[in-house]
Amino acid sequence: MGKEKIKVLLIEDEKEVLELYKLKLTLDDYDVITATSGKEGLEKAFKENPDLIYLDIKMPEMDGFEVLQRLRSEEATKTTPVVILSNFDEQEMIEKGLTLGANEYLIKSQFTPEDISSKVKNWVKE
Amino acid sequence: MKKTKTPKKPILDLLPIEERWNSLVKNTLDFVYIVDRQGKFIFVNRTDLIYKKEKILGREAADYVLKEYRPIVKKAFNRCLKTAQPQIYEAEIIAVKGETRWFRSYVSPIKTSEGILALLLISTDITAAKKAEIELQKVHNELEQRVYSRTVELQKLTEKMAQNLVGVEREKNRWEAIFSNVEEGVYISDSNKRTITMNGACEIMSGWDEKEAAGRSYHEVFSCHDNQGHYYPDFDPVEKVYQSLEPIHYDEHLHTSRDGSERWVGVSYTPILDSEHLVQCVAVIRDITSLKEIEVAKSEFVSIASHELRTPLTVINGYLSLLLSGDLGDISDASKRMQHLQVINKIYNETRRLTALVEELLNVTRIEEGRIKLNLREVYLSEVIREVVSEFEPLVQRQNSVLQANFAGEEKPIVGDCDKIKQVLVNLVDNAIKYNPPQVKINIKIRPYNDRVEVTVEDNGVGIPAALQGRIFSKFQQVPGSYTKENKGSGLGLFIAKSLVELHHGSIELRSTPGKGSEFIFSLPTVAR
Repeated sequence: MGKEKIKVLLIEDEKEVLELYKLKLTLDDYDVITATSGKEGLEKAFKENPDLIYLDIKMPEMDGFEVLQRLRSEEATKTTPVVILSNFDEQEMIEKGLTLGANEYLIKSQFTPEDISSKVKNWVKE
Repeated sequence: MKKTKTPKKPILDLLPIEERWNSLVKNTLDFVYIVDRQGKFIFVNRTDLIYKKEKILGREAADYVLKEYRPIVKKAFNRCLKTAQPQIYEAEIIAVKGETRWFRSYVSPIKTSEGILALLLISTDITAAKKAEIELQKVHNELEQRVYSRTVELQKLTEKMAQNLVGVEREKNRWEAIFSNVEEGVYISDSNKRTITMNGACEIMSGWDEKEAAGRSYHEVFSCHDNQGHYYPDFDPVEKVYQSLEPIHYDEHLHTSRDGSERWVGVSYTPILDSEHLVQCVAVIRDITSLKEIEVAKSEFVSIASHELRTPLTVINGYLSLLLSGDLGDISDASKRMQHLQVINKIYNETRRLTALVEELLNVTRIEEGRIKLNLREVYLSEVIREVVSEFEPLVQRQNSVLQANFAGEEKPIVGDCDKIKQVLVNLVDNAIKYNPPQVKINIKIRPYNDRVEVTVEDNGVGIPAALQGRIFSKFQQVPGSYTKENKGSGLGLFIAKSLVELHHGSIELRSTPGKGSEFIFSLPTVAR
């Protein structure tokens, strides 16, 4: 039996963006789980126990910051690496994300899917 | 020898009457005259002051006084003759050396059985007394004159002072009017940094009234935060002025009113110096809360707009990079053609979305800057509606939806910009399709309403949550849960629609029941304005 794949959870409400990252991460042989809202993201994070979470900020009802806070307050996801992927580039947003416990804050439009995919290995030791 | 005692007689009796008279008249210092009934001298005891005795006898007594006193003399004589009562008068006479002397004269009648024969005149030199009196009078007059002129001066001074007071009062009133009515808060503290006075604007801003605030520090009255909006218990901008003695031309703070409400203020602080000491500090405070709100709204707009622009760019760039890197196989590989076409289609869709978004952002900017120009002409709304319905037909059919229009009654044209009105309708219909599940039924109604034409775009879709209804016409407002749909909106459509309707002096409103559907009703005037 082969090694278990690295499990990546993508929480993103923009369908096109979600599909783009899913495509690339799947091509790179990661086990990709997707969620299109904060609520669904939290459920999947607790249920699937991913190795890494890519988290969007601007989402209706429950935004990425709230998801992050809840992830960090639960034992199961307290130390799970969380990389914020957002198109907000304001300094205060970046600071807020990092303060709430994100491991990294990336501005989507500045990175290719390849960049995003290659980040996985920075946070997950095989 | 025996002396015989003779009885003593009073000495005066020993003297004959004439002797007695002569002695009296000779030795008296007074002048004694007798004048006849015509007022002519018939006797005079001395003439040392005036003329020789011989010369004045037979002359009229009145001639020897200064001209102005003659009537007085004559009057006294006549009265005495008439009433037989003594008279008294004062007159000035010209004395021998040319000087004038004052005499007080008593006139008494010399009566016999035949009546008044003559008048006895006794004149006393009162020059010294008169001089003193005149001197006194002069002094008195001078004094009076001085008092008078002083009084006049004083009166003038008083008048001037009164005028000044009126001026001062007017100035004071003017200053007070400015002070209390000016929109800016004006605050003054003393050399001990304690509040002396502040105007009504300060009272409103701080929630303290002037009397309560008196004696407290600026910081206490305004509960001041620094220009980042942070509150420090010891932060007091006035303190800086007292230390540096330099004015602060402009500073922004967050003030908290007593009731807890916050407002942004722009303040200038000016020290009032007496030589080198600060005696007062004047703060002029302007409420810039609404400016700050605009600033915040603008920066939020920029933030969200750039976020929205980056999203399609992320997708476009992402797929292009996958195509170019060969992640999706060689572009010339025919077996991958379908996947490549799908990706290219996605890129194309995102490009269209980006274009539409850029257009809408530019429209919003134009609207906000008032740069939209209306190309006005007569417009029949039913024609515009027909156009819109036919343009949406393909999309409507794909979604198995229904889009229909009803025209009731005779239609009056409106005056407006055809393209802009079409834009309004497109945005409303587009929303009804975009934010509802397939098979939605959309109905457009038109009817005359007073001097207006009213257009209703109604659907039987999901409706709009009550919480969102109030701000649905604001920028970047979208119904949560509508995000995952195929055609994502910018959140600007309704803002643009409302702005365009208002440019036509029309109005737009929403009636919606969640779960049952929405109605957007706008009306435009049929008369040009």
